[in-house]
Amino acid sequence: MKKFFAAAFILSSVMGAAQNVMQNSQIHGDFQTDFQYYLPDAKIGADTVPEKLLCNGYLNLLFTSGNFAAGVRYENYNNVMQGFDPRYKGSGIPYRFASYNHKDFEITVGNYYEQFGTGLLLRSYEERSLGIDNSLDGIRLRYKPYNGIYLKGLIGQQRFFFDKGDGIVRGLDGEINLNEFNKKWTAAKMKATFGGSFVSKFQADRDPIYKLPENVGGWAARTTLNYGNWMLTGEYAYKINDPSTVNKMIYKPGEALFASLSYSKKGFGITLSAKRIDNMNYRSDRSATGNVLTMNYLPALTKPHSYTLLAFYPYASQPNGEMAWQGQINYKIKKDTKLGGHYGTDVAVNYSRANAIDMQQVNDTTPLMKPGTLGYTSDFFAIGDELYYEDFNVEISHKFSKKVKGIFTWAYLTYNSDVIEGHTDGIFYNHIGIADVTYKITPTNSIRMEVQHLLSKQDEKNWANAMLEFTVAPKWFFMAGDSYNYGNPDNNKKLHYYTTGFGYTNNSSRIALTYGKQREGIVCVGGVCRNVPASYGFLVTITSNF
Amino acid sequence: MKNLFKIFVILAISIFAACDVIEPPYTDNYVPPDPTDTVVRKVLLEEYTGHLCPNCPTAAVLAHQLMELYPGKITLVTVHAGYFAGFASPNFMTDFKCTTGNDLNTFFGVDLIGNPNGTINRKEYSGSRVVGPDDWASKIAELLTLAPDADINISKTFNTGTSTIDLTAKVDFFSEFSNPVMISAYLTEDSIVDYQKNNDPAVGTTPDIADYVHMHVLRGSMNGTWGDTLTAAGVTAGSQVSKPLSYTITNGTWNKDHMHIVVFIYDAVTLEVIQSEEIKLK
Repeated sequence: MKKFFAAAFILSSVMGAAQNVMQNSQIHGDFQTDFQYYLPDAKIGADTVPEKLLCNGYLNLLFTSGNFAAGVRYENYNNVMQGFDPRYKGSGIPYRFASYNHKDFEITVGNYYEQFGTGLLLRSYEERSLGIDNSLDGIRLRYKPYNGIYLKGLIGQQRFFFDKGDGIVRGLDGEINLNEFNKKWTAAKMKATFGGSFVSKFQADRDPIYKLPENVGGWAARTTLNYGNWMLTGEYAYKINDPSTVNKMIYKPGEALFASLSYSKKGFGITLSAKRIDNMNYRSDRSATGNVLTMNYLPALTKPHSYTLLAFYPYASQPNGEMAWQGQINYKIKKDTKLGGHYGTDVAVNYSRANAIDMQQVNDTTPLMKPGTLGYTSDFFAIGDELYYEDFNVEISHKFSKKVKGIFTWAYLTYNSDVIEGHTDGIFYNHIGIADVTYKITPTNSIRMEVQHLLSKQDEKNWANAMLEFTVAPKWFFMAGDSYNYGNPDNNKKLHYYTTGFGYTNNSSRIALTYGKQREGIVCVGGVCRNVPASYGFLVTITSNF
Repeated sequence: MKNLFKIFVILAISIFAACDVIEPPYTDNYVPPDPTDTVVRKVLLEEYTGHLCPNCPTAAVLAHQLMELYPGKITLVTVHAGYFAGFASPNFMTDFKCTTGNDLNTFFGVDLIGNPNGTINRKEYSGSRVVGPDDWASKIAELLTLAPDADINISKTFNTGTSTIDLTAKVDFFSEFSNPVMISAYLTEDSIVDYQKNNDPAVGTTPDIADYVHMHVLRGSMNGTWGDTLTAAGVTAGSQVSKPLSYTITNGTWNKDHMHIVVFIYDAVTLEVIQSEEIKLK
């Protein structure tokens, strides 16, 4: 009888504790699946897909209970959609973690994403649209020893599809926020943060030809300063010799500098940014290429474009070397003026340019970029002659009436396909004009029309595009559009790429279906790109959060 | 908390020490292995390339460096397939592609990853058989530390009048294989002078090399992309298995004086190549 009461007591205690835990617990998640039914179209270069239907699917589950959190992600590629790396094959759980935080201390084991500063030395992240997931699998500690001081330490291996990369990544990061550190400076007009990080990777040398560094380290220093309407951010990173496939096995140390100065006040803003990248490809496997096993992130200093024809020629950051700069001015012309009209007019002028870095031979007898040498020398402040990319664009947004508003864009875009795509087709010069007008029929129903034109004497030459979108907020949208390569000198390639589709949103779930043709091209997010093959068929996207 | 801070400091110092700065010369003084062994492992390197691929000449140079480094131990086949083996008027209109190459390219998914790339004995590394050029050396070095599992002896006759090849491959197994073993015989051609895109001044003119010498170009297979069964139910160590093959070359444009036959055997389940051998066609 005593045993029975003891057992009952223990059981009720455990159930009580479990109930307590469950009362303080939450489970969240999100689900996404994209599947496409492929139809062959020899004219646009859409190959026959043997499976006909390809699908990518993801499910994230996050469990939190007080200071404890754990999560998993299930991924399914049966088989992976075209344009993604075919090494994403099958299904599995490539991401799982558990973390616990106590006061100023947090520990994570399993998979995690992390970024030091702007990411010049370390950034592990997921960008599903590009097929990038370089999460680290290991241990991460975060610690705040004093007000305003933040420390991070980590070790792990990077995800490589459903496996892990060869190399081991170690990193430390420290940051001090002076305004939090000293109470006297809390209300100071000047806000200052300084940080520094060190990252190292290990990969064994099994190469019979080269003497390869097994431990490759790098360090970075950064700051963010705010004073009134001004803000200055900057980071410098240095990496020791790191011969790799991407840099063609040269031994020159790498450097990167990113700086940005901005000023803003009501109705006016200006940003000037510059960067220098010199041999800063940094991966946990020296033989990796593409978007695989990257340890750092080199942002593109160009304006991201979303209009179809403007996005034909996006810029991809060049890890082997580039000098780039960008300026943007945003100005609001006041309302009830001649140019501003009744509602005011927003004007955004943006200019960006990326060039090669200066490269000189190491000596008279060693050609540039010869494998197994330093590769080249480079003057830090000199700009190379070769133009990689240039974009001058003006965007004017104006509300004509309560019902009609428009965005008008013109851009002159120069694109060096040899460098950005690795082809040998030369430089493309493009003028692009866009009118985007929205007419609000009722408070919930609106119709939007885009008309676009690309004028070029290179590549596929002139394109025209038109798109009509009807939205019934907040649940429905319908669209139809067409891109026509009317200027192609080859009559067989004067093709239409039409698309039509609709979307339905219900609370936090959404389904979208599109049918049509997609041109072969490049998709980029933040200067990181992937090739997209030509395709034709039905695409269904379903997303849900809970 | 002070202890935690100390741990961070120790971590910082240890990670700072983790740097290997290499001083010149950057290449190893490699001593070739003793060539007295009569039977050696011969690794099959299939290099995926295309005449429109500007990075491919650099990879071809690397492949030949490796062949010089390991004389007689690498069998090279150059597969022209996919996007970079397409056409571009006016200089890149030669069709280097073949059915076997297209099949391999599709099966291994090389084109979707990009060129140049390769397979090393078609062995799977971390879920993929596609290996980037700068990993070829280390992967081949690893394989060459292993003793050979088989030896292939080829006897052949080539009838110059009918262009018929009659070949017998005699395979001696030194290791046991529980899975079926397949045998393939590919035809390659050397010294084809034609245009090639190039972005490496150290290799040749850029952006095009007008007189590039294409070597080891895969022309086709004597017995289909995936070959014939050599042993249907595995094989024990010490066994000898022979396979006769016959094939008539119908393409009149190939220069038969520059052609080779590449014979290799592979595990039908793992697809991993066990041994390879190469002989001249004539």
